[in-house]
Amino acid sequence: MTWSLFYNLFNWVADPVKYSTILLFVIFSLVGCEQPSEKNNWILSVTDRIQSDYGQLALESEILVSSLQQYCNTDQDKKQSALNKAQNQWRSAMAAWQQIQWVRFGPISENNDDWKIQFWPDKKNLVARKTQQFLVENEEVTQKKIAEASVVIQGISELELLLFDPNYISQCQLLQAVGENLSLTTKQIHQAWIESHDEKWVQSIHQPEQKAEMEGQLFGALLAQMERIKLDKLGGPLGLKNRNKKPNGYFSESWRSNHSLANIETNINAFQGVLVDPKRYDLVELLLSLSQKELANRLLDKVSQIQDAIAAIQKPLNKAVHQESTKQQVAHLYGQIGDLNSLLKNDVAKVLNITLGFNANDGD
Amino acid sequence: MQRRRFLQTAFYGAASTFLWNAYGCGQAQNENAQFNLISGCDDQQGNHFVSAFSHKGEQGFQIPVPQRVHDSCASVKHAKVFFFARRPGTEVYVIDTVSGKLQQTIYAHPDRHFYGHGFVSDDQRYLFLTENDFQHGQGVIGVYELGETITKVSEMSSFGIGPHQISLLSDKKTAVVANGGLLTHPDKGRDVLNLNTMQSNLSYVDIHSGKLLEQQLPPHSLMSIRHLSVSKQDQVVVGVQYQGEKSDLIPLVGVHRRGDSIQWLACPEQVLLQLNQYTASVSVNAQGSHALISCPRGNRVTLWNLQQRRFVDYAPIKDVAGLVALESGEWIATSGYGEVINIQWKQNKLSTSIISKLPVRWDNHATLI
Repeated sequence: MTWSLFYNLFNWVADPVKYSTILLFVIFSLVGCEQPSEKNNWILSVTDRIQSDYGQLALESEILVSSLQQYCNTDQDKKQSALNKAQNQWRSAMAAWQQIQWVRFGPISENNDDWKIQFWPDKKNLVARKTQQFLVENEEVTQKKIAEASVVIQGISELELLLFDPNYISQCQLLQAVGENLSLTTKQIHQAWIESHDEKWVQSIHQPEQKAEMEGQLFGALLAQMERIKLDKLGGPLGLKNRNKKPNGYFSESWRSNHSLANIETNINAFQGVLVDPKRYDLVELLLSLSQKELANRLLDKVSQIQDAIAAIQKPLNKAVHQESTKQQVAHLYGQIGDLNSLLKNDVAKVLNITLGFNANDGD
Repeated sequence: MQRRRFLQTAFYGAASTFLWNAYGCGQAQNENAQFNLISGCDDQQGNHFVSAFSHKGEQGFQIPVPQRVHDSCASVKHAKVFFFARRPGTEVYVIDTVSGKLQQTIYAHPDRHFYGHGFVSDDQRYLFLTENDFQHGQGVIGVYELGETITKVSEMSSFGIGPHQISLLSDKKTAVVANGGLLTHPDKGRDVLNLNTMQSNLSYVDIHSGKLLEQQLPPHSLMSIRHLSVSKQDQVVVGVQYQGEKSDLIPLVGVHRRGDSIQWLACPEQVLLQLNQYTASVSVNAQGSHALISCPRGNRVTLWNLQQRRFVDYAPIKDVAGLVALESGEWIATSGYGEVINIQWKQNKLSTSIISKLPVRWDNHATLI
């Protein structure tokens, strides 16, 4: 009797269909009971994208190290050409950073690495001042010394100074050490993301109590980046943050390389990639699944308007804010970014039922 | 002392009994739970509540209120807890712990609003609240007599703009108030109207005479001293919210003792930059040796050694804000994601463990009653 019961049970379990059902049941029981949702798909798609973007940043930084070596080892008569190549590679590395700059959570923040990659805003020109001080205090410069120095001189802003400011372009030892340090930092961040991704995102996304935090972090970072573009990258040079409200081109990001608008363009393209991603499940698909076609279209239109507004500014940002006609264009762009921010904060967050940080966003 | 202990025991007993009755409704509850932690909170829809919970993170009362509250305090003698609306709020909610009901709402005078902080005098006769005299743009300390009904009987200057957290020193007659320096007007909501001219200060005020005893200014005009915690030894630890650039390397924590100048504590550059120029709650431990400071914009708590006057460690907690120091030397923290967290400094490491997670968003401060 007992044997027959076991036999029947074995046959029932061995049935492939039933086996799959049981397996799924066991998996969902183990992971905390919520079945995969469209929103989960989107979040995991974005985190996968982040991993890829970190890989690109590490790669571009590594190539930059080679370019810097070539520049420093080149004979004087070919120096300018090598400098141009190094500057171009700096632009590629900067673009890779701008692509992922919005991600201020996960290993980059937990290990305090974001400021190591880029120290900015820099209203007091600390990058130049600390560099002078460092050069006075250190005859020999190594990557290790840079890693132990102030974050102000560790990253991509420091490299911009050393590659684009005529007063510093001969500082090859420092240039190479900072390049190596950036490459090392970006590799570590990429590696840390890979190592923690599965545990922190893939497994946790099914835990209802962790899901709200994860959604809040991810969406909050997208919002914070829009605020950073508006308030710091545009509001800074427009003079909106100054007591005297006068425009100041030196308050723009990457003014030494005239790369400010290119940075913003990359930031917006990065957001557009989250919105529409041919390789992955994207935000537009998620909104469509929630019958929010009109909202998806509004987002797409707004991004397109912002891209047009950037393209319309034909001068570097640090110069555009000082001429009335182009300053108006920058102010228009500022408004457009504000619109996108409001759309995300008021409409998209509501539709997606996102819990944004409570005390972080609205404390006292 | 014995009387105080008796009153506390009676208070906790009354509170627990009330909470048990009020919260019953067939929900699982720990009969032994003491709901002696209180905090404001929101639900996911943005409705505001005043709430109590136990050390085990179990939810006690949760009473809906019209305005979002900030900090709270208790009167053992009167068996009442007070929840203060944050700026530009105009209400203080008085919860009777025996009946378990919202007993009274104290309304600000028409030309005043509250700032979310206050304390009860040592003899438990008066409630002191930080307020804004917004017609004159000056901070005041409102004095309310605690009786059958609670009425405002007096006020004195806070000696600054935007008075925020206020606390009493061990002499029972000196209040220390963090004047944040930010000018606001209810017509403009929470907008800061004086960023270019703001000046925060830390003021010591004699609550009997209303006289200024001592005042300290921060080294940078954009440093807003907002929160504070006083050790048993009258060491005042202050938390700053810096209104300037994210990348400015400005100290956010200071320690002060009457007669000295504020000592601003250094913090490793990379940690400091992660805090995003913002501190929420300051909590000195029972021994007065360490202070824990919550930094929700940096998603971490930071620990500071008050004897050596230095930064010690940090631990990541998302959207952490409320902090309560326990007699054991440990802390309880609350977060905007509904977490109640135990925090300990042991074996040279700041360790955190989540006690519970409730479907609420805990607000800026928690209080042990």
